[in-house]
Amino acid sequence: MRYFIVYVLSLIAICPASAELHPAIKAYQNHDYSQAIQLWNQEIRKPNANKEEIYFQIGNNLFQSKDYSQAILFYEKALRENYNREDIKFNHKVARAKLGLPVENQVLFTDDWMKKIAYIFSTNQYQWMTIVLAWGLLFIIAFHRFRYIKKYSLIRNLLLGTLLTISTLYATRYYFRTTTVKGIVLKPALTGYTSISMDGSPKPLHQGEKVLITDRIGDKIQVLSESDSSLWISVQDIQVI
Amino acid sequence: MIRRLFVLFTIISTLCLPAQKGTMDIQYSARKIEVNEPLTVVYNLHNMEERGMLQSKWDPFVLVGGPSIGRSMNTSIVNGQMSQSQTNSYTVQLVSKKTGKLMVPKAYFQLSDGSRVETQSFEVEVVKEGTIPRQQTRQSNPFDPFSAFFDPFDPFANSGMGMPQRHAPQQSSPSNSGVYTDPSKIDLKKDIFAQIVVNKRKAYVGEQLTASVKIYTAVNSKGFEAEKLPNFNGFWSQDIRLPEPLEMKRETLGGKEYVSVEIKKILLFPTKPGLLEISPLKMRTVALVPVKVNRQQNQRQPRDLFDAIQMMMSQDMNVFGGVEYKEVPYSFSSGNTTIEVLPLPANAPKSFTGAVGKYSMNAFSNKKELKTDEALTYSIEIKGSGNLPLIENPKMEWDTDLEVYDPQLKENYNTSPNFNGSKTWNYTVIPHNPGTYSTPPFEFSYFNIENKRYETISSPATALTITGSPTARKSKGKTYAEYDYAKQKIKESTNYSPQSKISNISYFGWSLLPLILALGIAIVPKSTIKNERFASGKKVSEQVRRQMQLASTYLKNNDKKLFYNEITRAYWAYLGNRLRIEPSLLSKDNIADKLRQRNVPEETISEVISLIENAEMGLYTSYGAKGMQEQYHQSLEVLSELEKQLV
Repeated sequence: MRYFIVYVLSLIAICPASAELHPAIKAYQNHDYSQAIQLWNQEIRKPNANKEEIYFQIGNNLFQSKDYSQAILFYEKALRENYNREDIKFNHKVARAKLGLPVENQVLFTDDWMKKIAYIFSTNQYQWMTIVLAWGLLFIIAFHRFRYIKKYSLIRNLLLGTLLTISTLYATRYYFRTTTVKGIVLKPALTGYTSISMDGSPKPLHQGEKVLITDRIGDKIQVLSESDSSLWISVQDIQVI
Repeated sequence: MIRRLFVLFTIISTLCLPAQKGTMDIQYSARKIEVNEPLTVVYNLHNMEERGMLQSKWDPFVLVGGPSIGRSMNTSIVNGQMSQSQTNSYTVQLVSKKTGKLMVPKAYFQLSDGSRVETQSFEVEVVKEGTIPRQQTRQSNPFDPFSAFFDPFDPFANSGMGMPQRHAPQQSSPSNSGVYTDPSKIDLKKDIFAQIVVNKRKAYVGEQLTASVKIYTAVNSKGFEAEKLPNFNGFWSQDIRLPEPLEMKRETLGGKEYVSVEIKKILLFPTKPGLLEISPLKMRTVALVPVKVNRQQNQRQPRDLFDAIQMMMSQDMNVFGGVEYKEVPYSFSSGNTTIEVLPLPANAPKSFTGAVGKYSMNAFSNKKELKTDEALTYSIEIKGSGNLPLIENPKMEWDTDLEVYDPQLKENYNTSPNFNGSKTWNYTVIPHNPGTYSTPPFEFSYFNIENKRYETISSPATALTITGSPTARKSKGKTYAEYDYAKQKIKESTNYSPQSKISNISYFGWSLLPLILALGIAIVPKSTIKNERFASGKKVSEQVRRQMQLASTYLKNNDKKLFYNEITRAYWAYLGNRLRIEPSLLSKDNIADKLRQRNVPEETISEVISLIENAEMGLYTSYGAKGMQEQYHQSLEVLSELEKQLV
């Protein structure tokens, strides 16, 4: 219990600090984008860094310096932290449109709603919820030993069910956040080949395009492009999200 | 059909063996053939009793068909004398790979008596492919629009050449009657030709032109076939249906009478300025040309006087005399037609999209007041004559709050006398938010072909009043003006707050610890919980009091059975709960033991036992009907005494 109190107090202590603008945001407002990116890179190393926000900010800086494919990469990273942020999604679309890529949702339908549900709560909220539910479960089981509780089994099962659901969602979110099987094509006018020997007729990959990495042999990776063709490219041509 | 041509090339050969009474002649399809074109040769054997053909080599020709044998018998009675003639014809088809003047070799036949006869050889000129118009004419093509053109019963059909005359003038050029004396000098240029007639030679881009393709012919012909249709490049064209069968007209051109047939009528709209060329129509046909034949029979020496008379008679009696119809394959083309297309004047209004002609426009909405989520239809109708099909979809900027679907297009065209009709675009609009909106004003410009000026018609904006509550846009419908992300500014955020994080160790510790504890508690056996099944002190006295009250009511009603039943249950409930004895172990002995353990005096115990016994007696026997009152009071006394003792 004491930990909780300490935690809440520390939260309150941190909050007023953000009232003043972060230096990186100031740099952004002064159109000093490289400086802002540098400051954000320092910020992200801190243990309590808000990655979702930092990636979004870095993406915006890159967008303003007209490096759209890099911006897409960082928006994708930010979306991996929080898929349900509409402003990130919007900027992501704008950056794609700037590169002439299709803006409509390219994600598979099932993937999309799973993500939407899994990202309803933030990591912190999920962690707090599981802790509270686990303690609640312990309390109700222990209390029932000493005193009779009406509808004890119903309450217990509800608590258990909620705990399981929440932890499953948290695990799904964790999976989406940590699996890195997608990349962004950074090189302009990149061509891929259908065979690993890199011969035959090359097929173009668009700059800023999102690809799914399906295989890797040596320094060559096989990717599935947005136009659904499986191509072999060099590993340094893309950046994993 | 080829067989008919055989009449033209006939060699009458006398037999080498005068002893034989039969005669023999050879017919062949052409004197001049192309390489790889089959030459058909027919050997007619008259009154010869032959066994068959002995030929196997046809050098320099190659046998590709035949020999096929046809037999015909003819019996005639002349001056009371019957004569019989039999003709066997052997048909072979030969092909040459070489060019030049080649000799068709002699053919040999074996006769019934074992002897052999041979035919004459003859010369055929073989030329390269493509130098002769192909002689092959197909049987009437079902798609051939000209099949109606060849009508053997058409009274007009013969007029072009006049009636065949017995004594044709000896001229090398066609006479007025169209009879040629020399087949090699046949020239059909003036007899069959085609024309593409365009009503205007100068037109603006988008102006309507009418082109008709006509065939003129002065000789009989059959099997018209189009080799190449005119190409209307640079035009938008629309065929006009012609009456079926095709209409034939008599026309006199340059003093010569022709039959003309309009085979195609097309509406043309030039799509680009400049000199536009219509490529010629190419057709082929087989013309039936009357030819004066040089009768080779005349050269034959009559064998005797009778023969000579017969030959003269046959010549006199022949109705066709020296005229025969030669089937001449003929190709002809219409010649190029050029049209000068003028560009439209430069001062085109903004809303001009290429409409040329004369139009009227009507734009309206079917509703002016509607609720959210209700559909509204906005229609734009353009009516008139001109290049309607080339008018593009109108471009309209709708309010982004309105969900507008792609318009549905309805077209209705007529082709006569001018190209006219209407084009209607129907927009389906669904508002999602209440308020006052308006349809976008619409302007339509066209080039008026009559006064050579641009004209603009416009429809004003219609106000729409939308009531109801706001509804969500269904993402199915696409807005007409697509949202352009590339032109948007990105969204920014100015506040940054570090995220509080629970370290993994503390998170797993704090969440797993209670679960492990809960599991531990769940495993601990539930030994102490047994007590819970017996009611606690207050509840027991309450229960007993209720039962005793019930018993007192039964007592008043003098209901013996129910009274004893209730009172017995009260004893057992009280004693069972108070002394914590399982119902299965509840017996008088057990109760006495338990009471003794609780240090209850013996007399109280015996009172309790006797009470139970009395109650059972009253319940199961007729005894005790009078002692109910007494039993009741005694119970109250004993139970309250017991209660005191037990606490």
